[in-house]
Amino acid sequence: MKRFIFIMVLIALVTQLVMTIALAEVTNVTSPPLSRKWNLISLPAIPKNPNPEVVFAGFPVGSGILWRYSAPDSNFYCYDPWDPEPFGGALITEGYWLWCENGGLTISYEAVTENYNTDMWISLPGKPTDTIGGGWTLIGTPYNFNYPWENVKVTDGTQTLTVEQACNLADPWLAKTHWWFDATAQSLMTLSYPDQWPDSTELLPWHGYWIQSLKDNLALILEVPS
Amino acid sequence: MRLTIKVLWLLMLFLLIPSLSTAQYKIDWFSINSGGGPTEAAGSYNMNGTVGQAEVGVVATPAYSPEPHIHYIGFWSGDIAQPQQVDSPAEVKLERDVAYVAIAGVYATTNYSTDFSDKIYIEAGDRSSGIQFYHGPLQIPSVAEGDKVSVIGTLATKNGERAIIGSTVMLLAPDTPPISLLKPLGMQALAVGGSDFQYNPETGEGQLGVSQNGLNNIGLLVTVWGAVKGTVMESDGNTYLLLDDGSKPNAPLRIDKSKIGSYSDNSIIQVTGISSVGYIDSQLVPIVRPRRPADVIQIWPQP
Repeated sequence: MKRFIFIMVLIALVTQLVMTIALAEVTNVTSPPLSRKWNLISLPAIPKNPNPEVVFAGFPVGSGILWRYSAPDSNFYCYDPWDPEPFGGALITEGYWLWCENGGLTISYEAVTENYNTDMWISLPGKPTDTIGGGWTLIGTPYNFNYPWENVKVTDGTQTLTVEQACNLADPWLAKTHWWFDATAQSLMTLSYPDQWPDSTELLPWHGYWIQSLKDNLALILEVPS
Repeated sequence: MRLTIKVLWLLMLFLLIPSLSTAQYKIDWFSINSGGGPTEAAGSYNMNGTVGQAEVGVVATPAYSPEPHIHYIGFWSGDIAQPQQVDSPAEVKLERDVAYVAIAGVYATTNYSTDFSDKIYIEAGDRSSGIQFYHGPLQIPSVAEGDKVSVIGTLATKNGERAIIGSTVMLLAPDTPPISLLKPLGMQALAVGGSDFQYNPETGEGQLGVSQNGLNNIGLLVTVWGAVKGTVMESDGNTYLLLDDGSKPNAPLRIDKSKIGSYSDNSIIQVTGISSVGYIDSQLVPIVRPRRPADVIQIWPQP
């Protein structure tokens, strides 16, 4: 009996160890084919090496084709291999403009995928330096699956609301409609919860989104579906 | 002689009469109370007999009111200072240092004693705010991660971080149905700490931030990922792992190493811990404080 219990405990421990190793790993992630011209993209998984030249290998990122937006100073920053610091690394939860001279190319990089099982925090800093609250933030979908916008929550540090609740406050925190880019049509499209009849009601992997906040210093909270 | 004794007895009797005649309905002293006893009723007055109970703090009674109602364990509290009842860690931070506060219905994100020896951390159930509860060498109930608690203490600022200092912690009944353990929030290294939260530099109210970037999250349980870029002993006497995820060029995030092992440079790790701050070289910097060795997972190379 004691031997049986010992063996069962050993099996459980080994299984747990195997599962831990299996969950924590580096794997390759690849985007769907991109469209010719502009693509508003994001990265679904954490780059093992966030150097943009590694993440966007195969793209001439030194030629002014990769841009990010900085919400606090309302500025665009182009990746410059001779001065990479202003652009920084390629990160999850960020959105990027990427120009593709030819369609059909894909983004492929080694990544850590632990964020797929993690509730995520996405900062919406606004522009605290001006007197108008809020501003635009270019965010990315931090998962490899579609995420309904109506399930997103937003907090101001004192309470947490759904996006719909936040939009309908007397002093709303968020605009009701936000924007993504249909690269096939080269056209901006709307994102919102279903009552607003938008073009999309979900955050899609590999896509970037312009989120308009009406109050400074908010954060989106995305809870992984159980 | 007998006359003297009689006079003395009469004198004592006369001295007692004023005390007896001024019986009051309120007992004006600090008392030590024991648990609720049988109630004796006579006419329109009820008396609940309690003797010897230490007054231990507050408990919330959601079953009896639409929202959690705080009342004190014990009786005859007398004229002691009453803590200001607040609803969340965020609300606590709006007070000045030395404010005496009580919060009910928050959730522990650390284990008493086995995680940090001198403090626990508590969060609002919606993860909008969190704060340190510093008990120092004093014992508190054996709080476990996920426990619903109420706390009483005095607000202070410890090394740049707002904290409640005290030893009064009550374990509350779990929610029905019980909520899951508060999960950490994954974020970029750049987002750890955040900007000022309603900070008043003159009064110290609010929470001083560490950047211009985003909402203050000091006190919350967070997860970050990145490459190890060395280990450093800082001027505060503590050793930190430096973590770089690409969001803070030339300014890697400090990971408090007191609870975790060593990791090779350039290894990719996942770190879960409390979003915290500290003064290093007179500058307030963001720090993630893992609670235990299992809070760090090496992802690459595979261990």
